[in-house]
Amino acid sequence: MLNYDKMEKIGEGTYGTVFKARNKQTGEIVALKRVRLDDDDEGVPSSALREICILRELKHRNVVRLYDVVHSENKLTLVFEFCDQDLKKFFDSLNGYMDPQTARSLMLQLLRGLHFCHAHHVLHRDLKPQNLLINTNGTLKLADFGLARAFGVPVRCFSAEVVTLWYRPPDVLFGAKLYNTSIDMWSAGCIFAEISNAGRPLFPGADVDDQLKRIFKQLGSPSEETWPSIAQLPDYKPYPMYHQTLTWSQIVPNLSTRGRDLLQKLLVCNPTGRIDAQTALNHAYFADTSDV
Amino acid sequence: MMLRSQCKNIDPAPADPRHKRKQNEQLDALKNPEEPVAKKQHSKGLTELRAHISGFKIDSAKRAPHSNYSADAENLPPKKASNAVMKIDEDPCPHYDYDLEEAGNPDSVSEYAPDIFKYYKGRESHFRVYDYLAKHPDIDVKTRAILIDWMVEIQETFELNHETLYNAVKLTDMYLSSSEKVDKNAIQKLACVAVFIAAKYDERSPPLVDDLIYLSGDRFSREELLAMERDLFKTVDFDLGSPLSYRYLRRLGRVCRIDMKSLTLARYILETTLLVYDYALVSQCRLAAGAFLLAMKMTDKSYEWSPVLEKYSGYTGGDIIPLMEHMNHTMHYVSNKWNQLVSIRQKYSHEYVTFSSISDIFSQENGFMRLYDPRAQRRPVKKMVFMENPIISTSLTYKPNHVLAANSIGEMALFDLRSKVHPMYKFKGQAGSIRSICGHPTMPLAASVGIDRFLRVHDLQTRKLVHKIYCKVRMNHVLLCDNLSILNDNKAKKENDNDESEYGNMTKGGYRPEDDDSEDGVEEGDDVWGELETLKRSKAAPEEDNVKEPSKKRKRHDKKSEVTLKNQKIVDIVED
Repeated sequence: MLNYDKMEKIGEGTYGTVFKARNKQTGEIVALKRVRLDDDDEGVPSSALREICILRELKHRNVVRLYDVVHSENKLTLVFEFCDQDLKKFFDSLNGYMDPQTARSLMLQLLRGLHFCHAHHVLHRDLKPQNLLINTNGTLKLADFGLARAFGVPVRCFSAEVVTLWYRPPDVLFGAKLYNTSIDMWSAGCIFAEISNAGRPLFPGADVDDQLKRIFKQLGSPSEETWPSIAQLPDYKPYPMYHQTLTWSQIVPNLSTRGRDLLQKLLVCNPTGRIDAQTALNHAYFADTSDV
Repeated sequence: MMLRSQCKNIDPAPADPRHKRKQNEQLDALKNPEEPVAKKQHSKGLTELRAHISGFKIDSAKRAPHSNYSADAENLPPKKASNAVMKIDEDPCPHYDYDLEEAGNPDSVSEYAPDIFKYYKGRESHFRVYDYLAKHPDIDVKTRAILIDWMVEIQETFELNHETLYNAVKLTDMYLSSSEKVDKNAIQKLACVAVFIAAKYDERSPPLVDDLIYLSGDRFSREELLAMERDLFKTVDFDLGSPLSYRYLRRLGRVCRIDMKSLTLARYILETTLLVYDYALVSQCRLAAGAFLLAMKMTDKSYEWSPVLEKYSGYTGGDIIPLMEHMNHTMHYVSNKWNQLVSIRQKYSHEYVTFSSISDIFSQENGFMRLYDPRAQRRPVKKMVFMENPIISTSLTYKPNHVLAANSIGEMALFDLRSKVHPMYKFKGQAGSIRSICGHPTMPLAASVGIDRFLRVHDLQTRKLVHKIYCKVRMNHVLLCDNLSILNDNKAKKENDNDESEYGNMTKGGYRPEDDDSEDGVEEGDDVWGELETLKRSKAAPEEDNVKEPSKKRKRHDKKSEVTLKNQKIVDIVED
């Protein structure tokens, strides 16, 4: 890497290590994601290949920018724009209180980025606070497209082993292979609640079963009436009706009524009933400035 | 033949009331800042390429495979940049909104489908391939066609998605478009890597490097392949998301809600265009529209370009009809002149005839018959071995679980899908490859034709040959009509082959025991069989015919019966 001075290791992505580095000529700070390539490997790993191709297409304020790719015999380096921190670290700096304006701004940016991805045939499939970067002026950027993929219309079956457990929608938890943009909307809902609670995860399940239980305790267990095709999902099993222990206003006390309404539209178990990013952006929550 | 005759019915100069619209489109495209803009300064090829787009014109007269049709090729209108942006001032079909109707259907992604197709259209110009053959002395249209045919084979072998194939072909063309003097030995490696990369982009389990090298006959090493991967990836500027004609075709098929058969035909046509260099230079959306229209016209002569198609393709009928006619000629050219490039035809020949009531689809290759259930999985649910020769044709029969298959050395057998992996019964008498079989949907009859120039009708119940006609030419397709008059016509000559001794020669799998001594056939009473009295009456005929020598005398006789049969419209023979 002749053009960059490597500074420090920032973290590990889905694949490969991420370093902070400085461009020798311009002095610009960048993030380098480095993937080792071995001779007996299958060339460029498909997660890296997809991330590169997808980010090559997605140029948006709320999507991390891929500046360059350096591809040599034994390593592949992706040069990204540098962001100071991710949403998770941002939460840690908050001491448990998120100001409602910031929360709304973050959510608005998340949905804008997501709408852009969806309108450009991309599913992110791994939205979580660690993959949302925030730079010094408060701009949120979707990052880590290692699990992302381009989808065609009509959509085909894809892998059901996607999305980190806490942010995985019930249909995918039941093994659904046919999903669409709604998969990211569920994650956005979970993140929305987490943002408004300054970093307390909404459904921190221990395993798939526990995850579903937590979801259904809050939202009610789905039935054939609320979700007609549910019994056809590969890993479907019925769950009992749980008693709802906490109301929404107890779960997300900092959220306005309109905010709660948006949250409940995002967190719909039946994927066909889940709000899409475009509609969510037009939700009254974003027009609301009172923040009561 | 069929295609050409239909072509005559197409109005060559359709009224185009929306000529003004195109100018508006151009203006609108300029005004619209939201439209994604190309950022490809790194790629010299692509920059050059964009410069060529405005003056781009198909010139197939020089090196086209179908120089016979150069007049038609010139009819192809030059590609205008304005077409790359779908921006419609007035909705050509305001009363129909497919995506609105599909809202709530998860696989339609109806909220985003219009955005996505608009996005594809805007991106097409970034992936334009321009006339590159002059830069590669080693590559001509034929070499390219053979290469693509091989890629289709690879796609079949690894059971890859269609998108992967289309993308791989596109990558190959883009590489050749921005490189020089790629030699003959390198292009196979290129094709291999193109499939490899396209598969990694789209497939859940892409093929392995070692398998690809093996299938390429070990002509290059692992290191060479990975070096080519780096080279190709960089050449296309790390962007593999080119809009694919296949996706546009699926869209048109969905929007017009056409049946599976027409869609398969359209897919077959579109896939055949991959072989033809000229079409590598044409916009993907336009190609899809051309293939779609041709398929629809082939199914229904009176089919016309409609406002719905205009709305969802962004093209008027006037834009597409010349291309469709060009494609029509190309289809003929490819099947006549490039008849050794069979991968696509073989791939579709089976899908074509065999959509059974239980929606299983067959595919056959190198003596395997595979049974697919598209509802369950992409891999075959059952594999059956049938001798060692490639299976050429399959057909459904009057029984839902029985299928016929025939191979390239004239063996035809009946399979029961419920049973194990061996044929139930083998029919005999054919010499040389059987090209087509057609089972009667309700009667226990099946007709077969092959390169021995005989049309044969077998009784599936008795396993006897009930009819044989010498047709003078080699036939490649046979169809039965519903009210087959042979069933009522006891004057029709029945014949039988006399070398029955060959039964039981099946080496693989063997027969079910009760089949072993069923040559005499008649005893296998079946309850479905009641209605066929006329046929039973004709059972006496074989006895007399056995005396006859299969000689020229008989040939003359067959000719006569052929005429009678044709007049009675018993069978419809499509000549080669």
